[in-house]
Amino acid sequence: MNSKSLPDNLDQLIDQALSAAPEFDIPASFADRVVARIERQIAWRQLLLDFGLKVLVVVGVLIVLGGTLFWANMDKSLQSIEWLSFFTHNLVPIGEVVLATFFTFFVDQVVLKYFMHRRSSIQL
Amino acid sequence: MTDADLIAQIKCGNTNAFRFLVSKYQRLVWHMVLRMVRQQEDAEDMCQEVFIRVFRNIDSYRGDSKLSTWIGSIAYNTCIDHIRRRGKEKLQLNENLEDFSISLPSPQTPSELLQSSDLKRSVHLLVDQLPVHYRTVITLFYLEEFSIQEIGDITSMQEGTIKSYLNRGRKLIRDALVKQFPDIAEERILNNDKQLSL
Repeated sequence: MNSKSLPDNLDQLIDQALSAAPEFDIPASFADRVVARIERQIAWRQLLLDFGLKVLVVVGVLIVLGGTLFWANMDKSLQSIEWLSFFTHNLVPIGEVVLATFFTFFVDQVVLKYFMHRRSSIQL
Repeated sequence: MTDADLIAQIKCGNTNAFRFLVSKYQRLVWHMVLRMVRQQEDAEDMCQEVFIRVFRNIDSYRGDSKLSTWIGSIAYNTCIDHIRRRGKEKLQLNENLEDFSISLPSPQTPSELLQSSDLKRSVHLLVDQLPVHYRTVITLFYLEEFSIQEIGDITSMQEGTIKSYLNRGRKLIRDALVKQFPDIAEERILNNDKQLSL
C-alpha cells in the first residue's frame, strides 16, 4: 500500500467524516407541502369554530323561545301545555329529525367546505 | 430577516414567513430525523410533524434560546415519541457499551476505505449502528455544530453525559475501523515513527 495515501491521523479523518452531511435529497416542494398541511389544519379548525358558533346561536334562540313560551304558560300545569306534550310524546322522531338536520348542516358547512378548500389548495 | 422578525411575522399568521422558516431549518430537522429514526420512508412525515409542532407552539417561543436550538428540541422530542411508540429500540440513557460492537456490513479493502467518500460512507454506516442517544449527540455536535450546552438544551441531558456519549461513540467507530482494517493503524504508527525520526 502506498504510504503517501494513508491518513496521518485516523481521528482527524473520522472527525471529517462525522462532520460531512449524509447523502440524501430533501424534496424540492417540502416547505410548500408543510405549509399546505398547516393551512388545511387552520381551515378545518376555523370551519369547526364557525359551525360551533352557528349551533350555539340556534340553540340559544331555541332556549330563549322555549323559555318565553314556558313563562307565558306558567299558570298552567305541564301536562296541559299542548306544544310541550307534543314534544314529550314524540321524543324519538323529533330527536331523529334534529340529528338528521345537524348532520346535514355539519356535512354542508364543514366537511364539504373543507374538501373544497383542500382540493383548491392541491390544485394550486 | 432575523429570526426575531421571522417569529413575529409567523405569530401574525404570515404563512409565507413560515415557509421561509421551513426552508431555513429543514436540513437540521432532516439530519436529526434520518439519524434518529433511520427510516427513509417515514422521514418526510416525521419532518412535517416536527414543523407542524413548531407552528402550533410558536407562541411559546420567547427567544431565550437560539431558534435552531428550540426547533432541534422539538425535533428531538418528536423522534423520541416516535421511537417509543414503535417500541423496537430501547431508550436507556446509560447504555452499557462494554459488550456493544459495531461493524461494517460489507467487506471493503483499506485502499477503498481511505478514499474520502468511502470513509465517509463507512463512518456513516457505523454511526447508524450506534444507540439512538449516541447517534443524536454525534449528529448535533459534528454535523450541526451545536455546542455541548446547546445539545444539553435540546436533549435535556447533562453536559457530562453528552461528553461521554461523544467520546464513547467516537471510540466505538474508531475501534470498528481499526478492527476491520488493522493495516491502517499499523501504517499510521509507522508514519508517526518516520516523522519522529526525521
